[in-house]
Amino acid sequence: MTHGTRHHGFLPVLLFAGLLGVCEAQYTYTSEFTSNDILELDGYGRALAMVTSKGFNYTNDITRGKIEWKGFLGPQAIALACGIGTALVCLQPKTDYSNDLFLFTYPSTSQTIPLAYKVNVFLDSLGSETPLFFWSYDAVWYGGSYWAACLDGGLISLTPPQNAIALFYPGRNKVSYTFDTYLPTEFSVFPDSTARAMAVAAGNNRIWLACEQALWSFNPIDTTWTPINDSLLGVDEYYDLAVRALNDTTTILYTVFFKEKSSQKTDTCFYTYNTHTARWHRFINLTGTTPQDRISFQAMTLGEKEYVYIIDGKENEILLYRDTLPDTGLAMDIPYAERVQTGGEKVTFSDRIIAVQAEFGIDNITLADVAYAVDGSDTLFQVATDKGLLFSNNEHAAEEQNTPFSYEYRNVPLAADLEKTYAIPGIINNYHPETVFAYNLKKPDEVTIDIFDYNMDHVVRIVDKASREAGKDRTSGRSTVPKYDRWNGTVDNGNGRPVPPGVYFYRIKTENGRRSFGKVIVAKN
Amino acid sequence: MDGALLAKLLWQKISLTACAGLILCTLTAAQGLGRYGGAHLREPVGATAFALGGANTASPDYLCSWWNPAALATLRRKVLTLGLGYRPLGRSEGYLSFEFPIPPRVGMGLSVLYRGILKIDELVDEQEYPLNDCSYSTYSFKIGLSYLIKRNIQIGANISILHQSLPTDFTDEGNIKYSSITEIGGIDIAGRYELNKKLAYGLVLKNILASFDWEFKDQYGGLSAIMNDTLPATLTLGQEYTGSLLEKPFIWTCDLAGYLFNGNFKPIAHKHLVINNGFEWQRWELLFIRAGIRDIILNRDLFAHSDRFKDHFSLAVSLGFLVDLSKALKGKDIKLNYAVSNDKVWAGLDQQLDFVLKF
Repeated sequence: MTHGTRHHGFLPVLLFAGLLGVCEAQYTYTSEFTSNDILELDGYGRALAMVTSKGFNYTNDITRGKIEWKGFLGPQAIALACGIGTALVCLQPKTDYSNDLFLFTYPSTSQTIPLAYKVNVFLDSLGSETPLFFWSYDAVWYGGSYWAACLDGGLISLTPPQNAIALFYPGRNKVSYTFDTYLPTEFSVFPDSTARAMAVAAGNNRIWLACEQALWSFNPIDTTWTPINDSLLGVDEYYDLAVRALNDTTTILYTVFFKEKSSQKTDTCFYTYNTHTARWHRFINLTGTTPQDRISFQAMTLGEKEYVYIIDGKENEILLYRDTLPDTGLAMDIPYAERVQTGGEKVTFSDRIIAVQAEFGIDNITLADVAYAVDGSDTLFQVATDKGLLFSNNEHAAEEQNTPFSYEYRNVPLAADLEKTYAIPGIINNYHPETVFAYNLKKPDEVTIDIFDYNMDHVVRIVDKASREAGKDRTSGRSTVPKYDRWNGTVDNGNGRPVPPGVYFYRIKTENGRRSFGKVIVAKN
Repeated sequence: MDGALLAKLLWQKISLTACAGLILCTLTAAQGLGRYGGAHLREPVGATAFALGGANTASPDYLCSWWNPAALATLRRKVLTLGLGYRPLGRSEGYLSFEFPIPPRVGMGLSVLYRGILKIDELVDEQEYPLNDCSYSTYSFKIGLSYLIKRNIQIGANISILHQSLPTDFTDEGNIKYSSITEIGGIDIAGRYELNKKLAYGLVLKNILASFDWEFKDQYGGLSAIMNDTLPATLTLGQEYTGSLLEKPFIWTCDLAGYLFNGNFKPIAHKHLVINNGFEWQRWELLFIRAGIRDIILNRDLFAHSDRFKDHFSLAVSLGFLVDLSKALKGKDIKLNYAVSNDKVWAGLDQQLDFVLKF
């Protein structure tokens, strides 16, 4: 899972009141990729859910020849969990100080449009005049319920199809509250501002919760909490968590936390913990990384081997570590004080990704997240990027075997013969300093692109009788040549001064007399 | 030396200076005005001026505060104007003005002009998802005052309040964020001189100290950029000749507008001269016919390097008419003006329509 920008400076907050209802107001249904900019993935069997910068998508079978995507365009989520026929999406609160959890239900055969249930968890501030935002950073599907780690230190369970909700707090050995019996006054003791729940994982009939500076194990049957002793690790802040069940009595926790080296630098530390021996050992340290670097990881089992995929956002590569400890005896007493790197064979995945980029003609890809699932003999592996989804239904972890990747992304057809053109994006500002003119020709032709101001006075010529091929869509190739058919909002399309702020018009014309006009807004300095 | 002679000499000096400046600017390298601010202010305002190709500085019949505030002192009655305009690619406009004499020597005018795009619905974000509909709007208020020095000599001045609202950023959800700016400035100084019953001249220096100090807001409400956009000042010399054609009254108007420096009196990089011409023929008593050619840009580059600069030479041809409705409306002095023109890049037709009531 990938974590977004973190909200520091958290003050005591209190949540409450739950409400279930059908709500599509914030989301618009779509059967397309909501965005090629994929931020987060979660798989369950053949199902895959993903958060994009424009909403989220879900498919119940990633292995189909033509993948059927369902999704909603809407606010960007920060946490995601994929279950059977459902997905839970946790939104970043905006202005209503509530955390929106959307439960997305994949359509049955009788339905064509999926359902999205909005679960409102309202927040009240404890004596603060300025209520702070409340949200969930992480969620997991386990035992027929979704479990969401909440920023106030709590753990929410949401059980479809009745969508029963319960809330638990670490250290309280009972169901803390259901929303039906919620009493605000009882929450005057909560929350502990150091107890933010950052990550949640599940395995061996327990829910594992990483609070900011403490690890907890939760038994959903008797609702008891058990703390995990990590007092010698020197954790500044837990960030992520995964678990693998070795057997009924032994669970391996993979944790990620930050540890400050100096006032300026931190290390991202990957440690494992054996619940049977109650021993820690260091897996790997990514030195010099900060909480702002995009670090995520997934643990997986292939055969009898344990693997950990780490996305190193700083280096933009996927590292694959095969954990040799089960063979050598994870139960061995390895003093963590020795700081011996015991992580096994390292495979850098970026070489494969680069090969895939070349195969599909993708440039400058940025890796965001990985997900995996095992379905029978198939090992399903997906990589989220900012240019689309790379996925394999037959993952080979070994370095000598290349993983066969497929590529899914949103393609946008464009009418030919200049019948439809636009500037991408339509507003040039300091965040989007350039725009590219998208157009298609029916036949090869020479193209001239000019910019005019509001009074139709000429500003600058972008290209002058440049040869362009016939085009179709983004996949097959458009007539646009992005390297040249672009404007940076300046008077000379170079290093000159920006044009005055305002609405400008572009004209694309061909030598055979076809013309197209469109608008582009400039607001940059 | 009496006052009339002094005024005449002064007028001649001003005219000579203006002509010299206008000629000079044709000798400099030039490109279009599209690189300078205030584009929404350059299109002619009023269906009469529009039909006359934007040549309306010497003797504006209405909207004097826009065209030549010195002419306000010649008013004998109150003038109320209401007009609308539509231009291709979604641009629209509306204007309202009220002008009145303050006897014996003063005239005053108030005008407001809206120009903008009410619905911009084709924008996409960087991933080609449609952005929500947005709009671009500008408002220009002008307050003009004029003084009658002599029967045939008037001076006047304007001050403007300029407002713009512009979409400047967008959210991931496609919502548009606007930035807006309101500035007091844009001073116009004007003079008008009637040489005789056939010839009248006007001289206007527009947009002194006019600028937009933008502060762009990003999608989070923060400040993403600051930009000072100073508008180019315009020196316009207008002439109106009144004669006859086929024994019917005929008027030829001509404006020469020079873009030499910006509102802070710093030379602009590409000075040039624009010539506008208009014709009005009162073929029938209640119906005038008008025509004009606008934005004839003079610059040596246009001739020396026409292959490079021919796209800057984008003139507009206009046609229009006036219908006097006073007989139909039982003596009320109401005139309807209409004009149509190409928009210089042939994306469609510009149109303006207004009603002028004198009372």
